[in-house]
Amino acid sequence: MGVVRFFGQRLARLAVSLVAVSIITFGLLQLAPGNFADIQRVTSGATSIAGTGTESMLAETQARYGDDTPVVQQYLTFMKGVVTWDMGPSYRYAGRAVEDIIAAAFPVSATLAVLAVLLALLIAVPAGVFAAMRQNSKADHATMFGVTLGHALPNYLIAAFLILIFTAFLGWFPSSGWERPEHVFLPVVALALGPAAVLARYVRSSMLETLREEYVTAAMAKGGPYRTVVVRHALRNSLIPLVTVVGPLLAALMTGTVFVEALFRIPGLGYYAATAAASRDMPLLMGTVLFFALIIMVVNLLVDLTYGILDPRIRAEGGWTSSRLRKVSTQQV
Amino acid sequence: MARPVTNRLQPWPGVSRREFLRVSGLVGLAAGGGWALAGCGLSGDDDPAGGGGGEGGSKVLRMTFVPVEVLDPQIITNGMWILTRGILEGLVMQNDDGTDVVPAVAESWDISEDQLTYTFHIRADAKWSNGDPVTAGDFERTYQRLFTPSSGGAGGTTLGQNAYQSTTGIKGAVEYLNGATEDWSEVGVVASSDSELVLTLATPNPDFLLALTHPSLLPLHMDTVEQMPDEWQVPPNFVANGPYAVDDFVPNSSLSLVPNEEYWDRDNVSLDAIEITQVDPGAAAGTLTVPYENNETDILQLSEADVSRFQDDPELSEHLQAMETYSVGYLARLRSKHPALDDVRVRKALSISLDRQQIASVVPGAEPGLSLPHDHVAGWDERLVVEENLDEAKQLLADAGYPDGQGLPQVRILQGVDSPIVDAVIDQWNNRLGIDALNDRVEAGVYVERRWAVQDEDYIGFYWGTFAGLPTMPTYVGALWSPLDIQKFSLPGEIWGQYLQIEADSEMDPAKQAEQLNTLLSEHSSEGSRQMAELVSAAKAELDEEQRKEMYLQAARIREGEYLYFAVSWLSVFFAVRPSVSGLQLRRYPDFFYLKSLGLEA
Repeated sequence: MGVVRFFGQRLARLAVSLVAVSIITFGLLQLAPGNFADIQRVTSGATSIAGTGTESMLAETQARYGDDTPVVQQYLTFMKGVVTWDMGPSYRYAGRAVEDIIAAAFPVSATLAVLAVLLALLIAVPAGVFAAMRQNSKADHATMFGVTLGHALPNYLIAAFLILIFTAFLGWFPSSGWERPEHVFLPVVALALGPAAVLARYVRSSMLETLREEYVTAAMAKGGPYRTVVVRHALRNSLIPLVTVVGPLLAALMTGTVFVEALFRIPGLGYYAATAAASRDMPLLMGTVLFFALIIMVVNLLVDLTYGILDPRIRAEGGWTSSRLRKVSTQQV
Repeated sequence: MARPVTNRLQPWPGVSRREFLRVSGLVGLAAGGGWALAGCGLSGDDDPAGGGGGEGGSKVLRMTFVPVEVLDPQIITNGMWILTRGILEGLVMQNDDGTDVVPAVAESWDISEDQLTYTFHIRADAKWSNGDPVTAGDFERTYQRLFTPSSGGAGGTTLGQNAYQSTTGIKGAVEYLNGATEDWSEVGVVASSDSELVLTLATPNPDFLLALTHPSLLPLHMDTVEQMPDEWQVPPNFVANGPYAVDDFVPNSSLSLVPNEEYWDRDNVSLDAIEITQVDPGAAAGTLTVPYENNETDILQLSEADVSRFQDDPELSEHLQAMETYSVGYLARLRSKHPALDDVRVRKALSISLDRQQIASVVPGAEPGLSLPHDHVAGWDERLVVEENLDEAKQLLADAGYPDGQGLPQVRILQGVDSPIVDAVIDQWNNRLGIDALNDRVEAGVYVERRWAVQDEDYIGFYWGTFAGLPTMPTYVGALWSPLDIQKFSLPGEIWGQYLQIEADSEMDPAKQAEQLNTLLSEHSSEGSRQMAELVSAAKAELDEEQRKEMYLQAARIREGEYLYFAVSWLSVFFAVRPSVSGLQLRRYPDFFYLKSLGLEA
């Protein structure tokens, strides 16, 4: 019964949040200066021929975009489309339905995100454990300096450096594209380094806390091999809190990474969302923002559920509510 | 603290927590890796492009283009400029230097004596990539789609902005498009037979044949468009009639072309494939030229920042191809509650104070913008040149009541994209004229809104823009910075505010609205702007070529004298082109070159 209630509450909250996100996004779009038609005319890169449409043609254009109908009506029409998964065509990608764009671009962004998080974990866990085992040593400081640097550098800068080093100077990888496996390496590395730094710091502090736990001391006292105690007892338990970090991280990366996608010519969702905002492409912007919000909320929900499964003390003590989950997780782990 | 009993800890009955963790970890890794390799086209099955040298005997040209959103030539997007390079072919094409037309799908044409009726004879061997013949009916159906408002359903151009240039002048086109008429027979497009297309104009247009080379007038295979309204652009559905057909298309990423085996002039198409990568120069973060220098692309349009580096490099400088375009960087007066720029003396002072030679030196390939029409435009005359005269500029400012700029609010230049030219202008106004000037760089939406608005007392200035069009005076005088624009821009700030209010009143009867707007223009626009409008109107009806040229020239001179818009720089474009590429013929038009003549040498 508790699980049903927990789910019911979370789903209701999710729906309310989505409506709130849609209202805020639509409201901000109304407040933003300029409209699609005018911006498209002055910014359409290669289009330097003058748009010499008559006033009536412009009016007709506005009618097509629904700019001549009341704002509330425009909003309701779009939201009806969201519910029926028929959001209509994008303005900028004329003729392509928003849901089709999302369906085509999301798997690309999601692939990039999954690979980046896997790589981040492959870097972060050994680095974090290594630093924790040598706390306050030069090796610890050096490792933490390295990961802090990774955290401080924005991914587009890392991406530009990677292209310059591995493509321009070494010629090992193609500069951009998304057609062949070798295209994946540079963008995944560019995206993974920042999260790897966050995760490594997390692993280190979590590992340090776990090493001070009584059961680790007890395992040591029993005379078990040091490596076994560290890996089997300390590491495994110290990784559980990572779930709360990895989940949102994955969601954030899945919802598109504007600069990395643009730099590496990857047809993912982030570039679509960014250009939709810049060109005031209402259906595409609303569609992508709502989709992003949904992904983040669903992933957070899954994280909370997974956490309950991974750390039974939480279910036993706190039940299936997320606020209690987090409280317990920070106190007990 | 009491530990929970073990049997309550099992995530699923019969599965221990340890097993669950192990299995879920393995599943996660396998799913992640498998998804990446098997999904999203990353299986590695695709054969990579052969390379510019024509490896293994196949000639694959690789080029870089801006992101392509859609492949519909009837909507203003970047896509229309790649289609016109050689995927779709219109009735006529531009000649090598872009000053005239040569036959394409139409092998010949007749022009009536009154220069209103053009009869095109479609070549018998013109075919679509699916083998269907290209007929006059295809053009009529395509143009009906072009001129049909989107509410017309599948035949319409859906939601994009219609690409048709109203100055083309096809009779009844604009009226059909804006719904004033729904009778197609009133539009001057008739396929009198499969091989004969008759286009009728509202008034004579000496640029009509060149105007036909605009991408909006390319033909579409309408059977496919109508049968697959949502899928016709998706390969293999896209049906081409140009030298190349679409093999693969990923929006914002890549576009692959292969020769159209049905093309009427297939023997003169020499490449085996063209691989186009789509790159957003604004997001390239300094890496735009890396694909070129890493031998991943053979043709790349360069940004200003990279041109100097290429010029300084002994090897790369050999790859540079420059072309002076017809593109003009100009300043347009902003409307303000402050009256300073209502005074033509102030506007003239700001214009003639500029050392345009020095300004042009800040951008590679730029030339001083001596007049709004580029000097390559047919019919251009030195009488249009705006002469630099700093002393006169200072005197004009003093005469207008602003000696040494005293009493003049800060002069700003509004721009939506960064241009070093604007910084150079600001610098000269500050240092040569002694006035307070500022670069007002804003987001695109703010730019489009602010440039029409009436600014407050403390905001006067100009907005920065660039324009290019067909290289003829009717375009550069009648369409770009048009007589109507000049009249509107000459209205004092306060009157312009009234004009905008009336224009925005959707409740008002359209006829009454038009009358009120015209009254404002006729009563408050400058005398020069009205003279210009009369001259252009008379020139449009004039059939004598010499007379017409003179009238346009006069109108252009009057416009220059108003200083509501003034040119600052004439601009160029630069391409990096690998020496192995042959047949590249750069033209002064936004598509820059055709694909048909391109080849690769071993």
